Amino acid sequence: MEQKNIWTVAITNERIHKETYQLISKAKALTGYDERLIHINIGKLSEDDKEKIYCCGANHLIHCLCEIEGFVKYEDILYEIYKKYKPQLVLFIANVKEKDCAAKFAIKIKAGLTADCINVIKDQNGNFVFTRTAMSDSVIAEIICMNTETSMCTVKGNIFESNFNYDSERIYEAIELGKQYIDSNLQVVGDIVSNVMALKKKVDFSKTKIVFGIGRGVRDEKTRKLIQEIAEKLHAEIAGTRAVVENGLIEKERQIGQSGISIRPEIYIACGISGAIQHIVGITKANTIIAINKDKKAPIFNYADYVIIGDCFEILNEFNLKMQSV
Amino acid sequence: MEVLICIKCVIRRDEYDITGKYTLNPYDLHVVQYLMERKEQFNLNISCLCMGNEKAEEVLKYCYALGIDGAYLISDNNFVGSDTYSTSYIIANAIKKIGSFDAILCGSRSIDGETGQVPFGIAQRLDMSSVSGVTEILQFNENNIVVKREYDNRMETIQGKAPILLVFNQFSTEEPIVNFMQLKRVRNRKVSIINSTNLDINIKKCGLAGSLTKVLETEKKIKKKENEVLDGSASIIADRLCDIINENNNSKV
Repeated sequence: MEQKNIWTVAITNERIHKETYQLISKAKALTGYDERLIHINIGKLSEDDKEKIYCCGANHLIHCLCEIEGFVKYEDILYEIYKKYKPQLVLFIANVKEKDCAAKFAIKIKAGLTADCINVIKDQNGNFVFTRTAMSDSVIAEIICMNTETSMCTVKGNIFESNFNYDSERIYEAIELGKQYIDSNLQVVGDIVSNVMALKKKVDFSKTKIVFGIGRGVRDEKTRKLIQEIAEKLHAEIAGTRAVVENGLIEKERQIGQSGISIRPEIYIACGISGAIQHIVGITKANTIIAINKDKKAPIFNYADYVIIGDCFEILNEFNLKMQSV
Repeated sequence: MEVLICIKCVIRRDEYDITGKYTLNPYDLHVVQYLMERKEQFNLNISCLCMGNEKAEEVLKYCYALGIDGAYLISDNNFVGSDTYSTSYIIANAIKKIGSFDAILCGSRSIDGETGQVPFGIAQRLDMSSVSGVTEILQFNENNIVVKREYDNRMETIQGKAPILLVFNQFSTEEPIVNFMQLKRVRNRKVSIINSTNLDINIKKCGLAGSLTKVLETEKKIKKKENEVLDGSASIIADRLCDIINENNNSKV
């Protein structure tokens, strides 16, 4: 009978990502006793990295080394390995390089591919079921593969735990890669700027217990100034929706919604926000949500703990006066 | 330079329109705007390609009003239900039929499916070099394409030759307003319809039948809450607000 293989794939530059160990540990849990877990690593590995890879449960490590600089066609490398060790399941970490490679490899071998999975299980029929989020993170979907012999997925980081307790057979296979895997049409030129994430302007919402959200219902400078004043007194931060960013009422770093920023304050006070799903997703982890809106049908009221149907300025002005009198 | 922008239409629910307007995917809007701002500088002939239902035609007319030169709509009942594998098959096929382009540009993902897989599928099927995470185009002619891109927490400058597929990083939420006169002017511009009758395509590889993944079920992740309505005068509500904040917070109001 044909050997059943499960692959995990990682592409490393300077260091191995810790998500790789999470990936292998997860894959091990899905690997049957008569199945082989192969970890394919394209890029450098230290002896310690290799040790950890085996301890997470990989039986077989295929280590691909490419000494030549350039744009590597990772999917072509995987295809060579595919010809020898055809897998029924392939897991990649959901990083930039791996997602690119996974999407192209899926076309090459005609495999079903599910992106950014938060879980993978085997159902009672032995089929893999993949769980991911969609619609700006507001729905959870379960996906299966069909009409294919290989199921693949990219897996989100920090969802699964690494487990370094395995001690079984260890096979090491090194593959030297030649020029045929380089895309000679592209090259990196000039300087590379490192650590760009750190340079991006960000608001640290985690430092505060209370956050005020400003939405389109806050129509004037007067109300915005009032919210600012109250926020300062309460040591609260200010966030907002796309509409107010576009109107120049708040800076874009404070936008919660399409930007993907998610906050988890103790208290979120939504002022004049109607409640588009992207914004709801970003604030849903707040402990207590208080929503103030003139429109009694505003969707945000469905997701709030306390509902105030009224004018933001009127309510907050009274609140401000009461604050001052204490 | 002949360039093609692959766009998707999505239902966008935001505070302007909770009911859901069929509109240009914010990641693709960014690409359209970015290129339109540089159309003269780089001497570009810009076409847009969209796979969707007939409502997408309106969105393509909107793109004409923004200044693009050509528009194509892939629309066919046989294509409904396509997953990313099947979608890239259909789109790559359509691109081969339309003609050759020096560059194909895409947004990084759609705000509904959010897989980000289709652009790479298209590049693979058309045997084109691809660069993702693009933030800027510095040079843009057939023999010299230079872009800046963000990759793995680094900013790199990449140089290549046409044909090339570029995947942009950012999204745009500000839809340029076009007035009635602008829309009237483009009302008769042609949106070429591409479907299974004018494409050399295997229907069995399209739609749900040609897909390799299937959604079993979906569930709303954000659950509705039981809430308490704060009633009464502004003064009474303000008092309650003070109580709630004191209850849930260490620093007293």
